[in-house]
Amino acid sequence: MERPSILPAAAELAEHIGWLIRLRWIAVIGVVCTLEAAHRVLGILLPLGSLYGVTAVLAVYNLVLTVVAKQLQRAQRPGSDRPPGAVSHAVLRVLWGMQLDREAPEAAALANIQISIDLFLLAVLLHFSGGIENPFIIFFIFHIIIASILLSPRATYVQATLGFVLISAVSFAECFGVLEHYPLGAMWTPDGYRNPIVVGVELFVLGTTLYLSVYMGTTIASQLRRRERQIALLSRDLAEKAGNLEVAYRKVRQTERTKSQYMRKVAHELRGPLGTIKTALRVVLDGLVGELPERSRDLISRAERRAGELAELTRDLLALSRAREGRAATEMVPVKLDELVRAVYEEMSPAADQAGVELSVKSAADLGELRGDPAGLQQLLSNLVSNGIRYTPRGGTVEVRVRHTAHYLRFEVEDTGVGIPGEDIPRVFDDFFRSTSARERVPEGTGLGLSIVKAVAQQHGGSVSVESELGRGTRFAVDLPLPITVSAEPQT
Amino acid sequence: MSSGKVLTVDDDRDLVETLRIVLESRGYEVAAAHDSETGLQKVRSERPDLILLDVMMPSATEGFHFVWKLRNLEGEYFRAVPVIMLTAIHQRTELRFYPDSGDGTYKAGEYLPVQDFVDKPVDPKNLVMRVEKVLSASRRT
Repeated sequence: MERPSILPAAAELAEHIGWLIRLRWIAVIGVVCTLEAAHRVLGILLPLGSLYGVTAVLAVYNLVLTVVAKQLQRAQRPGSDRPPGAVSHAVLRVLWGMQLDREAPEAAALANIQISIDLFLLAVLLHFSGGIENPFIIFFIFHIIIASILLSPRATYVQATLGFVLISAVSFAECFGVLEHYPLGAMWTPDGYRNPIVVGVELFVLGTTLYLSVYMGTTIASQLRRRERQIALLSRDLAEKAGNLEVAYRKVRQTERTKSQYMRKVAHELRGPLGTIKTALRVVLDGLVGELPERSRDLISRAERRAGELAELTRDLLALSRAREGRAATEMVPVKLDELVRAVYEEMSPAADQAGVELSVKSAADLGELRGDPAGLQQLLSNLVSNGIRYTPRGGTVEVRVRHTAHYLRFEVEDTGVGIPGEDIPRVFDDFFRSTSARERVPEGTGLGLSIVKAVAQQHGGSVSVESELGRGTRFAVDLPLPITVSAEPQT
Repeated sequence: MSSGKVLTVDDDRDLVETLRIVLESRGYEVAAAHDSETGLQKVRSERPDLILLDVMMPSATEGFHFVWKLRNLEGEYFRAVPVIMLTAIHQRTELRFYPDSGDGTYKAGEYLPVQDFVDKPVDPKNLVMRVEKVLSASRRT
């Protein structure tokens, strides 16, 4: 996968370290040129051996850093799982135990080490070239600017203090004769302004200071601008992707609706003819068109039963697609819960009597109203009750409990039936799924009853859950959110 | 001997013929119509004692329009003639929430002015039971 082109903090720091290394090469060249100019052109007497020695140390150390930084960069490259190389690890562990930047501890430590060493080397170079007399003393500023870009504010203050302490130590050591002083000669005479060499050197220092400042300032500014552009591009990209996702999501929803509508149309078309077939067969079986030979009777009775199963399936498919298509909020109407429960009780009582199952309802005195789809809600409850009756052996009970909690209306239907095997429980709400215990007890069934229960519950913003113990019974609980205020008036 | 005249209005001709057998076996005289226009004409010409009406023929609202047109006809007979709707059980509750308010729109919270419902698929015994019940109730008044 393509990673965004924006630089994470660690990569940014690594990039800055690369920049610092390039600057140091410029410094090495600058020092060499300045030394050559000082003794060849200006004839200033300097301990060139020591100064070149320090410069060589600077060059070698920068070479080591180049290697370390390369390894760090490789390690931080997206997709790389290579740890930083052994060299960099050793360097970092030995020289610096601190972890200043949590996002890029290794790179931050590396930056810290470099700046400290740079400060130290600058102090040594200054010591061999006049100490406090040397106008290049101002170059400490560059180290601190670099530090403030690369490091945390605290680390930068520490570095500034380190630089100040170093040059102070050198200056006072020279002052009190602890260290040898290497004078710059004409630089510190009272009438230095009359000496073109002094004027030239001072102006050269000022000039390099100005141009180096410009270089650093503009480099940093352009980096910032580049990052801003990257961020702008990325956010546009993100917005575009979010838009595409939205479109895709809408398409999926539309497809779902189309599928559901298609299912509903098909079921609807099937229902009429199936109903007529079943009724016609029933009329024949009832002997209204004459007596039937036994074998014809048996066959027609089978056909009538199967037509009935199909009629049931189309009825369930219709109810399911209706609940899944959802209905506009305006089509939701106040449903009197007492009436709903009573209607289901009356609808189911004959079946319960026939099955020898005791059906009872326990509900609060005044259940009030719920805004919803009355047909769907009635089917939800009657499906649960009818399941309870179907899967409970003679002599068992099915109990319907309805109660309010603070924000929910809870329907519970508990039976003392055959129960659901544990491994089947996660699937009972799947379309067409019937548990093994259910199929053993009642061979026929659409396997859509609980799908409808779930779809209707979700259509009303609610949920359904089930607990069951095989052989002991099952309890379904449906929670439907209530409006904030329960009122007798329809809410608009 | 006729125990009454029943008009069946349903676009499913096969169902109408099946129901004719059921009703005639119980001594009812049966008239049939397959759309609401013909149905209303037959109500005027045949003056049935009871109407069996399909809800959905063929559009979802035609049965409702039939009832409202019937009840708005001039004359006490048209307001009183009992109607049994043939429907599927889960639509029963829905019916009461979609009555015509007279201008072709539907409003919530009122009952459709019909006497009873019979679920589809129609069970012949249940149908006969309902028809007898509704007819005897209407004769008492």
